Amino acid sequence: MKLLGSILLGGLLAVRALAADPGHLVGRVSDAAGDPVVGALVTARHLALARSTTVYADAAGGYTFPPLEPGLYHLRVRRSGFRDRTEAVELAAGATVEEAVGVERETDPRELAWQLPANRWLALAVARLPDDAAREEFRRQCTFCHQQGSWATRVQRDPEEWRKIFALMARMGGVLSTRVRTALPEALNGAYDEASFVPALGERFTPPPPPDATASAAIVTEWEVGDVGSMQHDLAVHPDGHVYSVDTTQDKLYRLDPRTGERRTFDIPRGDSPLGGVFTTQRPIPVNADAYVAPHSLQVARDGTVWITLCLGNKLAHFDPRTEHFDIYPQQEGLYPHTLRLDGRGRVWYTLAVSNQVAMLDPATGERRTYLLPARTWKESLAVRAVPWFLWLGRYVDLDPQRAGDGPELPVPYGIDIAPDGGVWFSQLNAHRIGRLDPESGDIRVIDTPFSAPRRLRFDSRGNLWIPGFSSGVLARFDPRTGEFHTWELPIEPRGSETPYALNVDRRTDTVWICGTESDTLMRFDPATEHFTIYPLPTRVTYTREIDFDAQGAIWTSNSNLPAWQIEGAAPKLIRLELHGAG
Amino acid sequence: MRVAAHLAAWVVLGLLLAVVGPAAARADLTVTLRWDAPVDLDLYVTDPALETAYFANPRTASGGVLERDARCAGHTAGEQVERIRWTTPRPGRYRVGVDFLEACGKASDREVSYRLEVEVDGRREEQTGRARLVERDPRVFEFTVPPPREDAR
Repeated sequence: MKLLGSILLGGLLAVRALAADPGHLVGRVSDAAGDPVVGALVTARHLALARSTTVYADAAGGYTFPPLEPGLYHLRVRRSGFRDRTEAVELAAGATVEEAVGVERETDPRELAWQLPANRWLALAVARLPDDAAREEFRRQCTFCHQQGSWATRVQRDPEEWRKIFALMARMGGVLSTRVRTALPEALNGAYDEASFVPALGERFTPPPPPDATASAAIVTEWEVGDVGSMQHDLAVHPDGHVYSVDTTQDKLYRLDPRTGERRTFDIPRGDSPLGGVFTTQRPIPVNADAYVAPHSLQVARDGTVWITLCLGNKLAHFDPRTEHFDIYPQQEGLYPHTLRLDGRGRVWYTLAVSNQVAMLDPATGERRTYLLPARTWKESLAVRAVPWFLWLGRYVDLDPQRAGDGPELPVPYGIDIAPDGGVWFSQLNAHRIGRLDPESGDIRVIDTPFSAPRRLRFDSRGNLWIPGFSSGVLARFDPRTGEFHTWELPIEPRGSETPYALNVDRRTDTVWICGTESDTLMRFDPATEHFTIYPLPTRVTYTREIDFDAQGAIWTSNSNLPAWQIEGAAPKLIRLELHGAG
Repeated sequence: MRVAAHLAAWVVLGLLLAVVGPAAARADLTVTLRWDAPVDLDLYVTDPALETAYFANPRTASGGVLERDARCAGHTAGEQVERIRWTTPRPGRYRVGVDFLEACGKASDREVSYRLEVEVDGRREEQTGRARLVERDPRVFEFTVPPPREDAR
């Protein structure tokens, strides 16, 4: 509370100072020879505000921050291949500080390798697995809470410790088949051995490319929200300019005012939900979590209220910002309310991930419906129907979730979106399918995707459905009129090493934005030119799961790596990318 | 002879203080899990910043260190011990969890008794409990480390 109070007070004071007389911070980044370090990420962290602003050095090495609140900043300059340089800068009201920063080349191959994002390390491990099916399973199951290959996860362990890690992860839903569990310890230990990664990543060091001229005009702002125990899962931009996010592991709703830096925290009512919610016996939560209801996904309705899925509590929450009051709607049928979207009539549609269903709540009439989605096989269907029995049985007998690894996988309905014609489209992550639910007739049609693990999908203004392939590292467009898919490999090197969790389409321009979940990036795709632009993000271990846009066209996401202590600086963040800030 | 004996006693005491004393004085917080069954229990301690020390995160930013990690492999008969320690623990609330992931091939040991000892700045609290196979209890014990006393600063 003290921290929150000081951020609130600091924010108000700083905004007052900014309104009155901001400071200006400019400079140039150069190497030992005086040459510009193009694309260096220059980050100024305002200590009192717990907020960082990042700009990119241009072709001449120059950088220009937007007007900043006076105060003490930590200025960090970072570019792969060079050592980080950090300085303290006191920015006075109305002053212009010119800070020339020289950076030294890093020559130690081990340190060079260590600078690279997790996707480079993931690729080393993937290459050591025996076949494509094992590689796909590993990418899909071992990267959905955290980056795989970050500083915290590129660790060698003995077989017993790996066995225990796999058992822990299985409780969280990352269930592996016996053959992948058997192959992984050798693959991971081999990949993360110095004898392997130093030559592969350090001696043959290839830095991620610097941002191009378009990207280097952007500004990235990161607000620290929550704490080390937080999982900043999803966010949504409110038309009034506030940004809401949910903390899955601490049962909180946060509200950020980016204009003032003010952060508010709202406790989501837990009711009678026990720790772990309806999964209390299995407790699929980290040990430091206070998750009784576990808010997961949220959307702002036309009336300005906020709808939230509570995945472990098996409920929906409805928050009214005017009264700051929550209404709670228990889920009578089905398990694990997951991603939600609102249709043109204000109805709330959401996936029920564990019970393979899509559900609807109509706030105007109180009507509720659930639709059971098709399973691929009778075994899958049986597995879905058996889940509630296993939850009940788990109270009385020991059930090891790893035993499910060789059985049929749950299909896991995941992303959901509403087409311009009102059709409700969803993905089934583990079944590698998308589908359409007719909201009036209830008819369901499913379509196999020509790529694996379709995750959080979205429509553009013209009715094309855009889909990220999580374990396949692709962007896909599906045209419901023709039934045709078109896919693009994401431009992150090495190809196939990215695991895009989500995307969103800015329907004002139909530009597609994609989470670079493994590579600490955001990607922009222009469908007209089929050109990708990569925006490197400043914080290592930036694990992103959702994207939204504000009225000014800025792109918002959140860093929700779980656990948060693996994030550089150990702070979850709300992130804004402004496209034409400093340029 | 008595002088020599006194001298020897003082030398031994001095050595003990030199070797054991400082180490003991630094041990401000230790959490120890003890059990006798030939299985692998795991100790979890979450610090006030909400980072957890355990076998997969054996060193925390706050200085928590998993000093002893009992394993199935190479375990010996008798008492099993896991211990996590902070030499300068942050004040605030700590949370202790116990997990029973592996029976080490002993299918019969599906529920075992354990003893938990928490020692904060020389004061010890103990409690007992039972762990069930493949079931983690994230809240077997919670305690608070007080801020340093003024006279100790």
